[in-house]
Amino acid sequence: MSGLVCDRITVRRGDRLTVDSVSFAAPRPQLIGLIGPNGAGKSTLMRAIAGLLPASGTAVWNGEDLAAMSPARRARALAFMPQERMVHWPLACRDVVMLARLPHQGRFAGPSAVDRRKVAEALAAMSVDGFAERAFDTLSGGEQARVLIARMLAQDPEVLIADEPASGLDPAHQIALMQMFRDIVAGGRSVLVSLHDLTLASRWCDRLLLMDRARLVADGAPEEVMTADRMARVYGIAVRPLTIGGGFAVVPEGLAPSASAQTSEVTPIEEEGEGNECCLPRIA
Amino acid sequence: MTGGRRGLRFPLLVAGLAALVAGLFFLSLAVGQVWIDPVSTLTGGSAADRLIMAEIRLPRALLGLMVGAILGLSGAVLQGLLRNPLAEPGLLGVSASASLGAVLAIHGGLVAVHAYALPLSALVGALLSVVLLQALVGRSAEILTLILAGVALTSLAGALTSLVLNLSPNPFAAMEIVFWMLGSLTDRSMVHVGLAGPFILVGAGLLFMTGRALEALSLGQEVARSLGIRMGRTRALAVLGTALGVGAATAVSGAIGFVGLIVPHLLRPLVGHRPGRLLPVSALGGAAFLLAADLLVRVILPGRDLKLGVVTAIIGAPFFLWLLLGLKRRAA
Repeated sequence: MSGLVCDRITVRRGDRLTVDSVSFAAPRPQLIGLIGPNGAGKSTLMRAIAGLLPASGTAVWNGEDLAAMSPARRARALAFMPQERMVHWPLACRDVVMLARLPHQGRFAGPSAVDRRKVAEALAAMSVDGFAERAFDTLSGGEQARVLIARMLAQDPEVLIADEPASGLDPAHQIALMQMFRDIVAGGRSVLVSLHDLTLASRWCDRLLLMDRARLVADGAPEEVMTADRMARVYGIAVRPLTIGGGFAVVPEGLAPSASAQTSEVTPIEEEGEGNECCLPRIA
Repeated sequence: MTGGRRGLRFPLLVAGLAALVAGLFFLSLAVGQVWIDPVSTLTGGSAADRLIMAEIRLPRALLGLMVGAILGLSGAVLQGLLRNPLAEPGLLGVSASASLGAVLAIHGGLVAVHAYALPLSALVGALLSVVLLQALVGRSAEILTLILAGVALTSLAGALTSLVLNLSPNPFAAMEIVFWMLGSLTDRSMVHVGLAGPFILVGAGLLFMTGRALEALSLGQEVARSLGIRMGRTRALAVLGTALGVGAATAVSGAIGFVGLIVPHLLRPLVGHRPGRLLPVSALGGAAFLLAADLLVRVILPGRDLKLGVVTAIIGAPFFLWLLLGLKRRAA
């Protein structure tokens, strides 16, 4: 079967399941948004698919088991961008992005003309080519995020998996990012991206996967997944559906009436420590 | 810390450092109690000059070159692997264990039995330490486990060395141990070169193989793995390369500090902070640093057998401090 097929992916941490038997299939290229409250298991699921965590179940890309691929082969098929935006040395941005070309280079070969072109294209796509020679640590948070997204693009993979790539970007760059993901999908690749901004997710994604407490609780088009009832149950919020440019979108309006009960129920799972996913307007 | 970040052109930098090393190597052959022109001994010269060159100067210069290079290289690899500019070759406990082996050889009188018992015993100490380290760390790819195991091993070997000193039968034995531990390249022969050389070469080969992985590790362990880097393999290469190379270096020269810490740090901005490119540059820089320090030892107090390890620390520490303060000022 072609495309990305995940079958009963399960991750166990100690005696607790952090991802509980998640299955979905994306036979054709799609922009898939992964949503869910803090600690739902989004990051863990992405890491499991990327082969960075021991997991049971299978993730298959075009009929080939991702976990069984050699690390080098997998690096050419799939790119992963974690939520933590970190470069350990004050490298120049171009050098940071060039690291993405390592899987395409021979052991002792330097960058080829193709490598240089892909890096230049990625830098331009994220409009960071203006400070390509500047050191990473001198950039603002949003600029750093864009350089790291360019790094993922330059890897030139068939599947892109990005954990919270939009957080910390200004609205123009968020929209540009989602538009670029759409272009990538139009070019025949698959993108799986976790998002906390529900408006962004509903407006741009072909399909949403909603996770809650380690389980996949809904899978489908944004208007099917983001029902008022489900958003209240999972997130404890009230959402307002909108039509923007003929498409569907939601705006979080406030806490759901029974939100206090909901939040206290969700809280214990937050200990799982998915980091500081703090972009949701959960106003007290 | 802005500006001039891209560094010098890499090939130019390598060529420049190589020329510096070659020049210092030549001086190391020429300078001593008598000045000898190394080139003249190739074609002729007096028998005494040729003897000094072959038996004293050449092994000393070769050891300075090899020991300095492996210390600089290992420091650069460990700093890249741990992504910490304070890492240095002694971190894994290899140097301390090699020292313990040497000290035991001195204490046990093995040195009197066989002339090369000391470096051999030190080498055994270094190799045992890497076996122990591997047993402690196991197959865990956790970097922190590696650091903690190294710290534990260093403390243990240090404590045992102190115990040997404590129990040493007479002040002369204790003095010999302390002097050896200060580190020196004096009175080494071609046998020392032959003993340490192969281990240092193999160690350097293993360390150089980590270059790509270290580059990828700039983005953190997780992204490095997603770029196809095998972390377990990288760690094993770094540990084994350091154990063989630095273990053998310590075995023939004693523990020489500061080279592996300061040289990578000093050269990093010149390669645009790229951890892979830092490797060859640090090896050359380490060789240059140690050859220069060994020349100073001979020139400053020729009669007093000043120890090399003392000089590297005396030059190294203030220079390092000056460098850090300079960086801070530029950042402010």
